[in-house]
Amino acid sequence: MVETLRHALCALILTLTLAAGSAYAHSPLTSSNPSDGAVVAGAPEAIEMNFRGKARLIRFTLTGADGGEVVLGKDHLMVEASHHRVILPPVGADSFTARWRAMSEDGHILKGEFSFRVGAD
Amino acid sequence: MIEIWTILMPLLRWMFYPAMLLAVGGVGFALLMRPWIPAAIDLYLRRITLRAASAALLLAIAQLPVAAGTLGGDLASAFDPFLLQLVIAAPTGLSALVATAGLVLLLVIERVPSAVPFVIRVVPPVVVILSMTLVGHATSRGVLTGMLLSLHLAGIGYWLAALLPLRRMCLAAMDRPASDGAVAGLATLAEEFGRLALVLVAMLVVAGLCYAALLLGSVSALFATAYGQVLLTKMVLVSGMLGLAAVNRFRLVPALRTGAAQAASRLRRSIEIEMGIAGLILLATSLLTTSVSLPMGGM
Repeated sequence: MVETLRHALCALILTLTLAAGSAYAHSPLTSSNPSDGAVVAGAPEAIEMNFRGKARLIRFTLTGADGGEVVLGKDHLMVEASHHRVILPPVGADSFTARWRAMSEDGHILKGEFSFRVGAD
Repeated sequence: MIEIWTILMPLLRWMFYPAMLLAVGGVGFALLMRPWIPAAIDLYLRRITLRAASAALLLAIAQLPVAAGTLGGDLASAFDPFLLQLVIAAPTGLSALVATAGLVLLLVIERVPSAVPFVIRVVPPVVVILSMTLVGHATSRGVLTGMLLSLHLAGIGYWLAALLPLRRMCLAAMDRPASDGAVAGLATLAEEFGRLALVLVAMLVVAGLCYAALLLGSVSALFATAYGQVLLTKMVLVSGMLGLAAVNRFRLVPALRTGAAQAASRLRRSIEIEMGIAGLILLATSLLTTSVSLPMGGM
C-alpha cells in the first residue's frame, strides 16, 4: 500500500514537472507578424509582436537556418508595451527563428519563439 | 531542450513556499493554540518556526539571481548587474525585499516571544503574507485578489504549521493508554486545532476557489488550458487532504479519547500522508506561479 502510494506520488511529481516544461512554451504572445510558420515572399522590414498585456522585451534574437544570428539594433529592447516592433536589416531568402524573452507588468518572466520563411519554396 | 532555469525557478518556489508557510503559520499556530500547547512542544514549534524562517529568508533572496538568470537565459545572467537591477525594480524584487524584511523581523521577535506583546508578534507574518500579494497573478485583479490570497495563505500556514507538532505528540503518545498525559494532551490540542480549523480551512478553501475563479474566467478554461489543468490537479490534491483532515477530526482524534488500539499511530500515519499531499499541492502551486500563463487577460 505504502509502496503503491510512493510510486503514485513519484508519477505525479514527474507529470507535474513535465507539465511545467511544456507549459512554459505557452507564452502570452497573442500574435506576431510574420506569424509562426508563415512563408512571406519578400523580406519584412520589421517583426511585430503583440502581447495580451504590457511586457518589457529583454532579449530578442533572429537566427537563420544555419544558426547565424542576424545583427539587430537595440531600440526595441527595454520598452514596456503590448505591441513591439523590431526593425530588421535587409535579409535574403532563408528560414528564420525569432526567440524572445520579456518581463510582464506583474513580474512574470515570459519567453517564446516563432519561425517563418522568407522566399518561395 | 528544457533549460535549467525552467526547472530552477519552480523548484526554488517549491522550497520557498513550505518554508515561508511554516514560519508564518508557526507563529499563528503558537498564538492561537497557546493554552493547549505543552511546553516541550512549544519549544519544538519555535525551533521549527525559526529554522523555516531562516530557510525562507535565504530562498527569498535566492529568487533574485534566479529570476535574472531566467530573464537572460544563461548562467552569467544570474549575476548580470543590469538584469539584477531590473528584477529588483520589478514586482518580483519588491515582493522578495518585503518578504525578507518580514522574515528578519520574525527571526528577531520569535527569539524572545514571551517578551513581545501579541499584537507585535502578529506583524511579521502579516508582512510576509502581504509580500506575496505584490507579485504575479495576485496583482491581476487589484486589491480583491490580494485579499483573497492573503486569507488563503493564512489558512494554509495555520494548517501546515500544526502538522509537525501534532506528529511529534503522536510519537510520544504511541502505545500509551488513554489516561496517559501524552495521549490526553494530544487529544486536547488536536480537538482545539480541529475546532478552529473548521473555520480557517473553510476560509482558505472559499478564498482559494474565488481567487481561482477570478483568474480563470470560465469553467472550460479549467480543462482546456495548462493553467486550468495544473489548478485542477491542485484541487484534487486539496480534496484528498480535506478528506484526511475529516477522518482525523471525526474518527482518529475521538479514538484517542476512547483508548482505541493504535489510535496515535494511525493519526501519525494520517498526518504524514497529509504532509506528503501538502508537498504535492505546493509543487502544483509553484508551477502555477512560475510556469503557466493565465488563460485570459493577464500573463
